[in-house]
Amino acid sequence: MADDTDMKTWLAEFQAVTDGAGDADPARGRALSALVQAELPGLGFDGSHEAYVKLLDSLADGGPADE
Amino acid sequence: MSDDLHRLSLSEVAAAIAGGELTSAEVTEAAIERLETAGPALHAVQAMDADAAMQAARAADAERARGALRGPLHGVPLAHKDMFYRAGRVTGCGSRIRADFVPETTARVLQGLDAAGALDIARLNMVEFAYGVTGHNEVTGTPRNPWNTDHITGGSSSGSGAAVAGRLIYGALGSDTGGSIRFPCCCNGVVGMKPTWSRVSRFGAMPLSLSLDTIGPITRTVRDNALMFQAIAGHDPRDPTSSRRAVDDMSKDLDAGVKGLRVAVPENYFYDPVDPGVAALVRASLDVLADAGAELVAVTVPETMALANTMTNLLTATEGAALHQNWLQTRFDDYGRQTRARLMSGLTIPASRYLQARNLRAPILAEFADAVFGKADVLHIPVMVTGAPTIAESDAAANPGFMDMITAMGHCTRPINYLGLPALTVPCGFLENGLPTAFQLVGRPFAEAALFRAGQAYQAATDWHAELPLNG
Repeated sequence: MADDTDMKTWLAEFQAVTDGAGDADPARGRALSALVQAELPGLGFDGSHEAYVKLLDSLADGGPADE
Repeated sequence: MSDDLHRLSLSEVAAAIAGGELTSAEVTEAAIERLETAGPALHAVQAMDADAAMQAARAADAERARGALRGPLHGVPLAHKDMFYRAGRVTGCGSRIRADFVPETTARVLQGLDAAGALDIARLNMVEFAYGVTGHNEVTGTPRNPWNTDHITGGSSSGSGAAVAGRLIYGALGSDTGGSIRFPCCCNGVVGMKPTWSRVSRFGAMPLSLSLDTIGPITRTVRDNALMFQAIAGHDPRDPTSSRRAVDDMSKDLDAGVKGLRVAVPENYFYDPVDPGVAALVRASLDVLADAGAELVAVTVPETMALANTMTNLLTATEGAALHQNWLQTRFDDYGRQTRARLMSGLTIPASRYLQARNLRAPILAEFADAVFGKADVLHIPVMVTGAPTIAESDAAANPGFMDMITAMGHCTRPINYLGLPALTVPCGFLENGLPTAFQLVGRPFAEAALFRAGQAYQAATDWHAELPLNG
């Protein structure tokens, strides 16, 4: 990644990898990038499994259960 | 009656054994005969120990004679996807690599069914390492659809779907990471619960994606499914992601109907690529719910649904690759080609993309919950966008459009895994080619009881679930 050409090549490969892992639709990869940019302030969220269990619990009917 | 034992439902058999009208030995003997005679044509069974099964059945009958019923499934023979560990017994995972693996522990889900009194009499075929949607398995063989054996069963719980639909067994466990309970239920015309992520312990179950894996029952009726689900749900300290939330009583309001239930009908995304024949049957099921008193509510789901589909693929590939990396290096030739290729694709995904997929789950779920559950109690959507294709046309080697096909298959299922929400699959009729299709009801987190109630109301008004396949 010494110059812009290398960087563009790397980015193209990066995009292709993401698309290949997904719906094989280049628009999806671009949309994901846009979403990540939009959500940057919130990406400090704790993405751990434990945090997600708590989030699910908070969204259940009647709210979180007592533990 | 003995000639028709295999046609009884799980609930009917459980009640008959508990009431003394049938013995576990009678029912189990009939199930073994069914597995041996009708099973080979479906290639659903991986292994069965008939002697051990009959011994367990006679022990159950002796317990009942002493007035000691273990639980609501006392003496009922079941069989499960070959990925749930039982101490001292092989768990093959549909693979050559694990063909001789004998675990030292027993899966929490099997312990739950044992405690409820069920018998575990056979291991059922599955997609290799549960990584595939069609049901193809080039290592242990491909199960066949009991409605037309030229067609796929759907995967990855392929043997479970075929065995239950083919009246080989009364109920079976499956697992669902991107649709692996719901595809076989849709293709074979049976009922499946993909529970809320964290509701059912994964302890002792073969992992594929820790972020997405769920375990649930596959049965002929909603009532049967609720009965099995009750036995496997609940907190387990051995699974660190297991929820501590109390489990609802699934039978309490099962027959309470859907009067006043708000059913969300999506105006975008879910029906976009659905074949007209499938869409017509799925929409007709809405009329049944409306006639039963449900209120239909139009909703617009967030545009992030398409990303949720993509990111389920991404999480599964990445986490699956991490689990399999050592075997990919040391046992390369022992994998089936399709499984190996898909696992290896996960090795190339950047860590940054993986973390984004994990972190975006929360805001995407919050957005979805607001859009759907802010207006309704459950979401009603298709399961598959087409009918089950033939085994030949969906073979990876013969079909250059294979990746497009499996991506389309997951259009309605994978986003639900990403969100972590519960989804009940209910069969709703037959397509022009004679194969079944189904709808799914998606609920708030931990709303499995509400889904069972709605599914039961549908089955009380219809009889699709009573139709018998070939030789059924």
